[in-house]
Amino acid sequence: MHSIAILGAGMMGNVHARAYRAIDKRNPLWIVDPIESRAKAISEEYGATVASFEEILENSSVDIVDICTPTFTHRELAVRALRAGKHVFCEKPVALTLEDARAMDRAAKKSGRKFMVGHVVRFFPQYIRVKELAAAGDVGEIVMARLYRGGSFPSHGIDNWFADIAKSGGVFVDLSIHDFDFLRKLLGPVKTIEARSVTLSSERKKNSFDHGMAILRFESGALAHIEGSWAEPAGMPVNFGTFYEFVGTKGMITNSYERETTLRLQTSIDGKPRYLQENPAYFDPYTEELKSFILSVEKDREVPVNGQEAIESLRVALAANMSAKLHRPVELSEVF
Amino acid sequence: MTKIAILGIAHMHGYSYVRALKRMNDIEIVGLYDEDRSRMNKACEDMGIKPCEKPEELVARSDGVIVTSENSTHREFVEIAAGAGKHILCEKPIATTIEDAEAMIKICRENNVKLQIAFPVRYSASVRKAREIIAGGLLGEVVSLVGTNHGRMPGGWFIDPVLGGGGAVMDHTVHVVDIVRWLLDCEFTQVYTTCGTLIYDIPVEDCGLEMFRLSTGQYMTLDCSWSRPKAHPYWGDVTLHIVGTDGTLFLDVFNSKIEVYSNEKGSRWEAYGDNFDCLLIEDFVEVLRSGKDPFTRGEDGLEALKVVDAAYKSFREGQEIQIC
Repeated sequence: MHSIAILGAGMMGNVHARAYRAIDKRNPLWIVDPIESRAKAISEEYGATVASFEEILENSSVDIVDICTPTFTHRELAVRALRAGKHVFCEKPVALTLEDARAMDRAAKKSGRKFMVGHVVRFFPQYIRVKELAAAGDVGEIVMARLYRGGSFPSHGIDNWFADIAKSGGVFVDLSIHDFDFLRKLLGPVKTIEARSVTLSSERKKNSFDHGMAILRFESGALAHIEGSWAEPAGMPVNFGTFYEFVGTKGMITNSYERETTLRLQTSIDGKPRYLQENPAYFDPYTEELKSFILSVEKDREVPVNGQEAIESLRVALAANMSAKLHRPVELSEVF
Repeated sequence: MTKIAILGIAHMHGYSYVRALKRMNDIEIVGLYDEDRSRMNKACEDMGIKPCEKPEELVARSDGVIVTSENSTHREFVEIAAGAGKHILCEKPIATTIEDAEAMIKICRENNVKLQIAFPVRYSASVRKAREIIAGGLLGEVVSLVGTNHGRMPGGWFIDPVLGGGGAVMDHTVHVVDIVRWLLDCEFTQVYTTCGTLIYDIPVEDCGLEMFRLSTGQYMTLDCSWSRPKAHPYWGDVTLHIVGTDGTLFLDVFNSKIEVYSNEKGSRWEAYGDNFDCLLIEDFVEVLRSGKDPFTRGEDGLEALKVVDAAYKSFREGQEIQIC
């Protein structure tokens, strides 16, 4: 039995509440959010108790704190929760700076509690298969990768915080970090990054809009191209998608959201056209991710994505931001 | 009757151009020259055209000349044709050095000869429509571009550093550079390149990624790798993702394909869309008949080659290079 407090009743807070309920219907759930109506909605839907952060810290029955708040708030919440003896799960990106991320990691080590960061792509089946195929050697050694992740701008953020680079870090830190993290695990350490993002590189800055391109060279000599986008117009029938291509010495692996669709709906009710293109599944990567965290707590073993891992992935994203800002290639060793 | 000579058949596109010519009316292919006699004789047998031992003789009997020799030998054949006052269609890249490319353009100008470069992708109806969409403002302001030109590792003289002039970067940079120059009315001003021989044991690079800055202010990446495995059902692609402030456009110009799954021959995709080589050849024949300027000119070939030249310099020096 665990007593779990979710901080933040936004999009991810909802996803996590659903996942915790899928894992166990009886675990006490708590929800913390400054906006009463949002907390209440989760409370009603998933049977969670509304509380303040201070109440959670003081409540010794709560053993897990799950941080689903905007990135710029992560450090303070995580450090205080760890100091209060809670195990902490924190959404990605871990933080906006290495200093913040390291403070969180230090607090975790000092507390002896579990600290895991939500690099959930590692739990998506189409990415797990890539790692399995790479290990099996079906396509030889993987030497080149192209990954796309993007869609319309995440306008669901409270106070439009995604649009403020000081709060979200922009498209590399918030979105492409998934792909940086996956590639780091697949291809090893990154050596050089050449990147541009519209928000960081162009004089024609526009809020609520970003598009990033990054060219990576790994220590192994492997190359990768990462495209992250918040540039698709709002209101499109398909508002998010991913694509990847992994080239090996003996073949390649590829997957595209546009091709692998299991359900398509076209309908028009009362003159309102509606289009759906989806891939519904019972397997939920978020549930798998949180299950693995709870198991690590129960069995007292290392979490799948610890603070150090998250710090290394953040470093790559920050190097991309640095390159985009300075308009020159950046060695990963410059970011420390 | 419009008479056309073929100089060099090292590049397999020569076969495609001959097939395109044979589908047109009032065209005579006067013959083929290749310094490799066995290659010449085999191609002539395959395509039912006459071999000729002397390129000058062949050129004298023609109205126009198609050069599909190895990249590094384009100049010598262009000089023969231009010297005889014949219009020329030259395979891409225009040459392997800027010096050669400039000399080719100069001799054509001096002899009042049109020089067309084989950038077939620019003839694609999708590319033309994209230009209209951009010009019509449907994307708002274009802010970044992501391109690919993937292909299979071609082998043969393509991987000879002298005859090919490089590897994947030389072979696959110029198509996308050419269409973007035309789509946005821009030049490429800066390049950063990273590349490597990662897949095959060959003397040139098989993988490359480039970051460009355009004169119109945008940044653009290009993946020019020979990274399509033999097992892939299709030879490769030319794609371009154009991101604007009000919308995005995705081009995948060779994606009109049918999928074939054969127990006998394995699986493959077959193109059914417009044949861009045919559109290119039709333009060339029109150049010969009307004296109009070609759609893709020698100067376009030179600008694209300057980008490639700077791309290699960037990789050698590990930094961004201004393209002059």
